[in-house]
Amino acid sequence: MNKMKVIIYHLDGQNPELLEMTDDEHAAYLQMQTDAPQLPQATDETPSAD
Amino acid sequence: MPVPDFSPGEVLTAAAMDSIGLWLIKTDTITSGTSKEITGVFSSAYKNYKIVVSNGQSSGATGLRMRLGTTNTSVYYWSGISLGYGGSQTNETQAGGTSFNTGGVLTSGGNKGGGVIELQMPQQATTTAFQAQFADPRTNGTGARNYTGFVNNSTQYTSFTFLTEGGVTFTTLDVAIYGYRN
Repeated sequence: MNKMKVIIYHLDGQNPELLEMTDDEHAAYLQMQTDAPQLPQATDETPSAD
Repeated sequence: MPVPDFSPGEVLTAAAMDSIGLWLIKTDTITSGTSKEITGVFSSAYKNYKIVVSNGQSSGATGLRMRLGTTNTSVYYWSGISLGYGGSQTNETQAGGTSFNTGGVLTSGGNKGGGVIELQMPQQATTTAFQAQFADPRTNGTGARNYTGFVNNSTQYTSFTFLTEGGVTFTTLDVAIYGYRN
């Protein structure tokens, strides 16, 4: 069976990633996302001038 | 085409009933296992269908796959875009897979997956097209998940099967199938 192709575009300037996955590997990929730490939350606070 | 406008106690006419566009065909709930065939849903009575999926949970994170009938053949062509809550983008594609990736995500977390799937002509002797839109219930996952594709054969299907990926088991998944009156 042909693998699915997954292209991930990042926001932080990294080059896009091309991954090839079986169904089982895709489930593991989704689980990895679930376990990933939360990104820092943006705030509306204005940095104080030093 | 008139829009039905019913009053209390009114006798429904055939014309009024015939003007109703969407009919509930069947509901089902999946509570165990890694796949389940939903039988007796596609027929000559309807050409196009809507499947509403809700309350989705599983023993671990997994994708919700769909196969028409139960036969495992490499006839599924699909592609999808997922947009993460943080703004990242993921494209997923497969040519000649053995099932659709609906884009649906099930998880063992507290949130529950849900979405809609549209199918065109699964019971006619031609290719079947599908479009699916799901919300990812994981806070670390991707949010908007929009997938489309087609089945590259002319099989006349009467059923479909929902499957998980990676041997993950369903905990609960509510399914409602509707037919569009032509």
